[in-house]
Amino acid sequence: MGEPLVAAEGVSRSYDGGRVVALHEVTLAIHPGDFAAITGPSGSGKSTLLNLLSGLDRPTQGRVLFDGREPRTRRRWTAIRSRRIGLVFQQFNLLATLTARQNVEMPLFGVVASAAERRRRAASLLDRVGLAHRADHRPHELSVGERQRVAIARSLVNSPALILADEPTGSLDTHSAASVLHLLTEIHESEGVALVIVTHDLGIAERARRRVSLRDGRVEADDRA
Amino acid sequence: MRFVHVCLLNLAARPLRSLLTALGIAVAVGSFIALVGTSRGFERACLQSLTGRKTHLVGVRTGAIDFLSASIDESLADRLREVEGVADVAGELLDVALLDPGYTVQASGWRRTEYLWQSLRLSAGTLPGPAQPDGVVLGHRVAETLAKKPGDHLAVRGQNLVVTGISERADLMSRTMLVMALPTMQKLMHRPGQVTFFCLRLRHPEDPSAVAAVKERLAARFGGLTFAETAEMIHNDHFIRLFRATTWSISRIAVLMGLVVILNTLLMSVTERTYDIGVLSAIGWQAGRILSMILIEGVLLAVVGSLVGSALGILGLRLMARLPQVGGFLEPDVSAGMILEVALVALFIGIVGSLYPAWRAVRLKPVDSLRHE
Repeated sequence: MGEPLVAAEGVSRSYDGGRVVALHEVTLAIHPGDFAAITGPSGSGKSTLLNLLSGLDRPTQGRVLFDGREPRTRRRWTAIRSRRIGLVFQQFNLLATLTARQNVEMPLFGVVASAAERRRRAASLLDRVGLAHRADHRPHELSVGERQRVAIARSLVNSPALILADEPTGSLDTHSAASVLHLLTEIHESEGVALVIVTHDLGIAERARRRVSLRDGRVEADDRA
Repeated sequence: MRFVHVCLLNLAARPLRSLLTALGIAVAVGSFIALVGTSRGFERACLQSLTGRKTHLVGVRTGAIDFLSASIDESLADRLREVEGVADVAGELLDVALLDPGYTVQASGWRRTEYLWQSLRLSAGTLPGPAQPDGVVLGHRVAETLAKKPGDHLAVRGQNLVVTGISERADLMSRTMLVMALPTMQKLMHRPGQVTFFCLRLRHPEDPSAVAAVKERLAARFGGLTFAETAEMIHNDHFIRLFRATTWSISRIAVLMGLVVILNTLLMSVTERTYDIGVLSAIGWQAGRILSMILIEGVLLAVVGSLVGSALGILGLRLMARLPQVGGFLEPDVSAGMILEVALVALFIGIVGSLYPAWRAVRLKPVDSLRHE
């Protein structure tokens, strides 16, 4: 299968001086082009695992490798997120003071020097997610489905190799959820971007080629379709 | 969108907070300019008042802390004239007089034959003649404020004086002073036979070695007096030094308050935006970029605050100088150098005030910042 894009090697994450264990010695590798769904009940450690895979958090034990190397500093992880990882959150995490286009432009600071090029790329991505006509609207002027599309456009703007999505449809109505899921899978299929979705929704999990099930911070099952 | 545009949008997103922060800096800058401008203006006015009289050296009572209350025997003038290198000597009795409408002026008494009278240029009337012992010349500003013209009467310390002329001299002290014959002034102030200081004209004021030699001779013969060139005398005067030190201290306190205001506001602002900062970190913004963003916001507030504060300070000084209660002693002296100095101080405030909040913001792990919503 080749070298994994991101790999967790025996990672644990505990809080409160070890009294609360969110993840316990989890080992998981995501390869280029994978489409994995991480499922499990609330508190099973899904989001914690996603945070560790993206470098938003650090394991208390074990290590996370990206492209075969362990980023040891926050700076290194930030650099990886800026160029190699796109993040999609349940609550969209758009900046309220910026328009949709400006939100999509934000990851390009420090990557693309030209303001015109940043604008062009953001406009192109918004067009791709079907929101060209909403580019100058602020998040509160958009529907929740539209907000998640803006967040997906933002996650794609630096052409990442991996998209990590944490309950991307969790705040959406059925129609918007289907539309967002379709968009994510279409991006995965057309561009070969590895896609990892954390979800409660078994319907979404069934569309993934790989299903990782967590329970009490441990990998309960890791099935490939 | 450019980087600075992001910073501007952040400031615009909280307009009231940004406005109040800029206003806090503006008040600090404005206070600094007003206080330092007042101090410098007063000092300059004193200096102009003496140099405008073609006075080269000033002789004051040695060790006198309160310049105005110092007394010297006026008869020393004749002995001073005998010193080699001294061309002329004038004794001046100087005090502050409160006129009827609460208007404070500098009142001077000069002996009728002294050269100081030659420094007055009259726009109306004449100098008081020998037959007018109660005659007084008013600075044109005093005359305008009190609506006096030659021939009018003026009560000073209960005595009725007659306005004989209006002075047009340009410097502040002369515009806002009144001058009378020395005996009249001595009688008014109950200081018979006394002067406050001596003004000396030298034969060779352009020659520093000649000036130094005269000062040495004067010091040797008149141990109770201190002789200094006008600028030096003004610079070292106890009252002016105290005034300068007070305004310096108050202006620095104002600046310190500005620093506290911006530190508090930016800290609150950054704390409120912890979640946003977490988002920026999550999408790949390095700590340095986030730090720069917050610093630029602080600097933008400082720039706006210093511009507004400079304008407010200058405007406030000008308005204050027009008040009759203070106009006699206040003329703004605001230089480009002072504005530059205070702008740099404001910039420093902006940077220092932003550094701690910025450092706090980037220190948090992104996952902790994102939980802050």
